[in-house]
Amino acid sequence: MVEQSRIAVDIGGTFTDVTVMNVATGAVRFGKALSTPADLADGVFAAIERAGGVPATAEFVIHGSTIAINAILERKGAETALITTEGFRDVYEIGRINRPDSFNLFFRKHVPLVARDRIFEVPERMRHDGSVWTPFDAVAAGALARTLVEERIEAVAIVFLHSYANVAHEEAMRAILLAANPNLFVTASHDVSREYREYERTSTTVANAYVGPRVSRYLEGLEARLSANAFGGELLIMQSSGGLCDVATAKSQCIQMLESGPAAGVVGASVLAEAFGTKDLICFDMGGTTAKACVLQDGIANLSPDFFVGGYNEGLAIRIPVLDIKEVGTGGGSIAWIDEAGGLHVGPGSAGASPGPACYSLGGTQPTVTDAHLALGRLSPERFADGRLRLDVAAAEGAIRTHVAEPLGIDVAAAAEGIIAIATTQMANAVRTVSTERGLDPRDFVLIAYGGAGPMQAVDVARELAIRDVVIPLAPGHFSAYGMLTADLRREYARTFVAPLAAELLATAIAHLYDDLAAEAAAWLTSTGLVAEAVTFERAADVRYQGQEHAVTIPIATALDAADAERTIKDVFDARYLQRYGHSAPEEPAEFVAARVSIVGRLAKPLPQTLPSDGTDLAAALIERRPVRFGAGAPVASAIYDRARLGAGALVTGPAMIEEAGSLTCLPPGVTATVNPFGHLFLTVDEA
Amino acid sequence: MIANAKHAGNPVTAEIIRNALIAITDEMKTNLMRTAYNPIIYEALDFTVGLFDRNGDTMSIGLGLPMFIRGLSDAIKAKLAFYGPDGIEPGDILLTNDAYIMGSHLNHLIFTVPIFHDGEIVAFASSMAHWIDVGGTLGRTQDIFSEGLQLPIVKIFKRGVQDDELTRIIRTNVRIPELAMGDFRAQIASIRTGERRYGALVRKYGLEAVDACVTDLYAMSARKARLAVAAMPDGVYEAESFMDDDGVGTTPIPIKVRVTIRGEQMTIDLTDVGAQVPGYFNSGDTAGRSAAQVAFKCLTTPTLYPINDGSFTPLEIVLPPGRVISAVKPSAMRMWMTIPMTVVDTVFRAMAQCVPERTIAGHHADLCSATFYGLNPRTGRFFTRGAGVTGGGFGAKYDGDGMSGTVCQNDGDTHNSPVEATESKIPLLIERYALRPDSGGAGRYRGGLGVERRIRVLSPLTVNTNAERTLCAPWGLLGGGDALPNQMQVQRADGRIEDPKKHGKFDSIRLEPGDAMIVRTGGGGGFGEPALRDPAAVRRDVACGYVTPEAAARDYGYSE
Repeated sequence: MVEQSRIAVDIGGTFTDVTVMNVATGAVRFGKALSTPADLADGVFAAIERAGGVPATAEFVIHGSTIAINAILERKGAETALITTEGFRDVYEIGRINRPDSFNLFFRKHVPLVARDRIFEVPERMRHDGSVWTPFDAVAAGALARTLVEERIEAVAIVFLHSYANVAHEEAMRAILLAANPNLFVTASHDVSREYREYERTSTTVANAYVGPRVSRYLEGLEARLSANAFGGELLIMQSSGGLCDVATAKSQCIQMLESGPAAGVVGASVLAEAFGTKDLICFDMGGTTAKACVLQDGIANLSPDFFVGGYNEGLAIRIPVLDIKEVGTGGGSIAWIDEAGGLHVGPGSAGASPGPACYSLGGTQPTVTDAHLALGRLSPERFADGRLRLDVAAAEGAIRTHVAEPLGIDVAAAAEGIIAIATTQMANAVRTVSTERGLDPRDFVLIAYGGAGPMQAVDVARELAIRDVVIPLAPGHFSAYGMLTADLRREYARTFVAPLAAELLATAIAHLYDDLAAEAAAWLTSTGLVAEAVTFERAADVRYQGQEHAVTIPIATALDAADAERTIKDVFDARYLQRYGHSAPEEPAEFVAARVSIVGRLAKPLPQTLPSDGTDLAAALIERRPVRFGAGAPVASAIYDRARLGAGALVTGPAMIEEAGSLTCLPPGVTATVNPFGHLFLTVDEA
Repeated sequence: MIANAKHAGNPVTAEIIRNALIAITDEMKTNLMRTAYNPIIYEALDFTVGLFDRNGDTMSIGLGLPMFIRGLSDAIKAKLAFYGPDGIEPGDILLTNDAYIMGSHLNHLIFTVPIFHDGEIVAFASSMAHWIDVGGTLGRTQDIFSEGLQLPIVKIFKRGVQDDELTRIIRTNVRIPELAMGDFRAQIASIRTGERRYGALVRKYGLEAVDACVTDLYAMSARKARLAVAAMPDGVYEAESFMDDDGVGTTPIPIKVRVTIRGEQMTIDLTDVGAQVPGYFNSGDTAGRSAAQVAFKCLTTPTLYPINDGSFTPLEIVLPPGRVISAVKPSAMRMWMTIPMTVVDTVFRAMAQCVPERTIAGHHADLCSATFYGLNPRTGRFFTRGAGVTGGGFGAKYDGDGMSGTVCQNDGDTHNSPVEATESKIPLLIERYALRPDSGGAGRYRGGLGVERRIRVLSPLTVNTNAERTLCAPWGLLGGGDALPNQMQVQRADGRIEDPKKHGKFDSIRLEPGDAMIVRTGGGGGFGEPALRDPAAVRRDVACGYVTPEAAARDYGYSE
């Protein structure tokens, strides 16, 4: 019988990961191949083949890639021009004028993707309410279009002031450009954002135009290769919001792919949360160079209010719907070092995959977090990376001794413990920024840990935050790809509209705004030709107290023309504000800032495969016993298990290690793990 | 170098505490910024939060405003001295805006909460934020009494209960009480965050361990700063510059600094900075010493965090009272922040002779703010609001051009107001927000460009400007050229241009619909001889319009 399948493809910097799911049985298979920058599709098909994927019988190929973010970081985008309102040529370069690194005289502000000689002005001007102050100068625009054609510009960004309130001039400009050259890749700012703040919208629009030709050509190539392989299903693209879109949308909304990998992990977690019957989850994703944290509250992850490619200090602002994921530069490869005053630090320097930790024997000499885990006996030297890389314990210990233990006058074990303790608190602080800083108590959450290094560090982080329940999902090293397989179709629509939060406006102008956004969203889904199991619309509003700048996004569950709509929305806002900031001002009037509508087209979720429930006999899964050090004190004899041989219902009590392909779960004494029917590990953590 | 550093505490715990101090002050900062009501806090980031030890010394501050680097610590020490440690009880929150304690204008309200552990004060959490209005006259001031409400050191909360009488006095004395009370609540929430998080840290690691680690962190910061100073050639380095005037008279104010490097010690002597002035450009001794600390940190440990008082151990500051940056009561201080910036820049100018590779050419050194007030036709309410900070040029360095359109040294993570946000709130139309070609000083490395902003008013408003440094241009270093200085003008609806009667200062002038305020910020000075500039860089500057062909021909011998 022909296997009905879904194929998820996640291209990372080093590897391309593929997961194939049998739709009928829920069984999953994995494949990995080196990414092939020259033609990324080569790596994609190599990995599909290794996973035993057959495009010809797949209903979906779901794809996420770092192609867009790399094009920006490596500055390998198209020859791009920016057209803007007369008088505002320098909005992009001036930016927000801030110097976050205030005392550093050598601080460097963001470097625009388009230089000033490619930024052009056109006479036109809208006001904040969408009324025209200066009419659009079509003659000047036509002359400019000819200049751009002569200069062999490939992509153009159009950003006019207040275009979020009235798109007419941007549309007129686009028409003139496409008339001059139908092959131009044109992004108007209202295509990617209809929210105010001109620098952020400019930066976002330019980024989309800049990566557009490359990303859209790549997607076309991938489609062609899939067709050549008799693929008759749908190619779907993972967006930074955690939703999927059709490939046609992705070819024009190219930057929506920026953070597809991290977003996919969070989506996977939200789907599992539903299955676990818990809705409050902290996602903890730790890899070689960074760790990421994201909160799911009531099953929903927030979108980030501000996202930067290249970091807050010197990076480019991008305003797209991207999940609010906090990243810290602490991962398995983070280097421990002593500064000139004798202070011990971990990261942000990383040994990465090359030269790698000292224990890889690939040229690395600096001690890393991975070396510390190995020195404490937590990693198996023989079975790391499926036995392909033999770890050198002496090299790990030597690096820790030379660079940390001896300078501080402590022993190697204490130094290794110290490195892990510091890394743990840095990662816990990242979790705090997405929880306690939002008025949430981490103790009320379940921690779900994934990424190659996440399960190794999960209990340490949970203890630091006093979290009792930890979940290690099936195949944590491939979790992003799993998330893609379970994602839904989704697009977000938003529009700035600053107005008092008043009943008459809610029932009229604001209600119309939501209707317009919903209609736009519905038209999009229709245009994709995709059939969803169910379609839902989620409405939200940005609201603030009058006089404030920063708004809080709240769900809108009420009918806007209801008699008590104003009161209901205000109450929800006051309550959300109080929770988030610890105070509120119910007596103060509030202001409406933006309307948000998300459309969700639910795709059928394949049922996960259940494990045989005969795995309670641990002896079958035992690989060995060896001494492992946990905290101060002597090493303790610990059982090392093979996760693949643990059946449903198995109960493992720490001290123990559970090994699997691509990851390792560490269970210190006092921590227990049970295997649920679908193979996920549920850990109960005591307070150490 | 150090092999075996001596630690009082455990080095692992010290690093954990260090990370925690940064994380806590960041959280305090986020909380304040996101919930503040006025743009000076959420955009200009005119605030500072921090954690202080039981003596009031700085353990970590989140800036906010670099030039406020000493303000919180000095205020807490004054509060401690006033009440004595036994006079402060759990649940108290101490408040002051005493200009001569914090060295700055009355708009800065400093709230402090003591952090108790086992019945003893173990630390303080504190926040300063700039309130948009604290009463006083909207025009020129010549003493502190005309600048608004003065709150001596008081307890705004006593054992957990807010003082209703004090609160009503505050509400009564400010023009927009709902804004003020919004910022009040945001500040309280911020320090409560610090109190809660630091308290948890002490409970988790134990008071003794935390105290020992804080001592270690001071010592490590001191060590790093000493190593940086030790690497500088010994000597005495001097420089000078001047300010336009004091806002009332027309006499320039001299800024002379002398820096002495002796081994591991740096002395910044500010004795020869001009005397305090009758106008409102004075600042207190705390601001003068803050300027010295800012310059010192930039030159020695610019990226060391958290900022704690240990890192200033190798710095000696000489600053007698009665200078314009150590003014005494009742001198007016409304524009306190301006002169310290030029003091900092002048220290960099002096140090160019000593460590050219660590210093920077002069910058525009002013916020160039224009404050509009009047009736907002959209709300029918009185408003007062700046059109936002514009940003200007920064100086070039030994290895690179200066930044264009960037906020001056007084401020750090300060943001401008988006044109689209400003116009959606108040009756202004920004017609132009653009770089000024040729405003950066020529040099092997070119200074950054200043910015021009043209603001048309749409309903009758009054405007005040207090721009400085319109005469003393941002200087070049080591042969680099000077930049264009700051400039303020009004263009009437009929096209007529008006200059201020006094340098950059328009005094409560009326603007009618169609009139425009033109703000031009200065550039940054160049670094090194222009003849040494890479010809490709000159061509690029001309192609991008940063430098006009005429200026390029004049300064660099460029021809097309």
